[in-house]
Amino acid sequence: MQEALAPMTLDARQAFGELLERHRKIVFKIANSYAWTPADRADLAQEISAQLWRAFPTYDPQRSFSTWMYRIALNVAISQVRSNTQRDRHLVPLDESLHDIADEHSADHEANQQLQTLDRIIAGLDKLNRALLLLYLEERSNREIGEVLGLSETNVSTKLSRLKQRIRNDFK
Amino acid sequence: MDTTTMELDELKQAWQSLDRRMEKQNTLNLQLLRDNRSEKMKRAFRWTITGQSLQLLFGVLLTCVFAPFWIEHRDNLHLIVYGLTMHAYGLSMIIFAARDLALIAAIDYSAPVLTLQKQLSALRRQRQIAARWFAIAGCLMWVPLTLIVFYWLGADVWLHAPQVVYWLIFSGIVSVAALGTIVWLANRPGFARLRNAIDDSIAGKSLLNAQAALDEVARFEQD
Repeated sequence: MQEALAPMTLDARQAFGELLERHRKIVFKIANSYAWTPADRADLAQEISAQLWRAFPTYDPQRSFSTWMYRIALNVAISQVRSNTQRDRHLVPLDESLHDIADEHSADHEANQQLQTLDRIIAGLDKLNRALLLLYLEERSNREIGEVLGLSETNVSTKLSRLKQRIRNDFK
Repeated sequence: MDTTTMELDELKQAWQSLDRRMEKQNTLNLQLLRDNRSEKMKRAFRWTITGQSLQLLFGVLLTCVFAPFWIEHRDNLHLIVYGLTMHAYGLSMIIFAARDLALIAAIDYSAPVLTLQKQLSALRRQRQIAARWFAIAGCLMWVPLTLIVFYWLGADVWLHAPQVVYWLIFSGIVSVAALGTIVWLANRPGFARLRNAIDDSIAGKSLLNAQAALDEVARFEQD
């Protein structure tokens, strides 16, 4: 797992760069959902990209890049080395945490409010349910969510129903 | 929007709004991902791998030293016992280190999330078992080691002062008892800091988060 970053051919490096650019929002959204300060987010985004780079030589182009990317990004985020589990459980992100994603020209107060609620809901979930919610919000199919998390489609469907119910109960 | 009635489907709107904002975000740019400050990732298991490699080498060294010792002294039961004990200890170091390294090598970040979290937890469980073994063995292993060193220096303690051997064994047993008392205390309410310190030292900082993830995996699967 910890082999040194293998030198890639120029073509492979270009292919990786293009794919990363096309899907970079996946990295940032996951970093945004699992780390609360801009510095932690930047660190996590870099950890994810480093692991993506390291794993890229084993990526099978026949398979979905985004599914592969979600797996790696979520695995890194969930098992990141920093021992911040307790903080994750209890910390409700500050409104300031939205600053680095806020549109300063936006007058859309309602949208900001929605984002704050979303942030609070994400922060209130454990890491695996957070992954489930994130994939659902990304409008991934149950099959793809199952592939990323290692669950059956039926199981994903059941867990999503429970998650919806839990969010209704917890945030009403 | 009334946030008190926000439904999961409505959250998608907020998520999409986040998506649009992210598109404009200057600080979260691709350069950040390409910026090669990825040393943290490389460091993630570096200490674990280094530690296990050293343990493996030390185990090989002990085996190479003490296997010939007891073979050479096959006609002296007490020397066979000393040598075999140290030989077995060396083998256990090799086995535990090799298993750790194999598990670390098998960790695949592109595996499904639940699979990887289970791999990490298996690694941690194994390290806990190994740590318990080495903690107990460490309390006792210095006894045969001391006796062998004395033998090498020309003094066969068992032949000339067997009471010293009994005293050393007794001291080893007291050490195990003291260790057991500390572990028992750590599991009592009000000794959380001691418990955490023991957990930290046993599991290694790099794997503590894996245990937290395991607990979540179990809860998530049962949910």
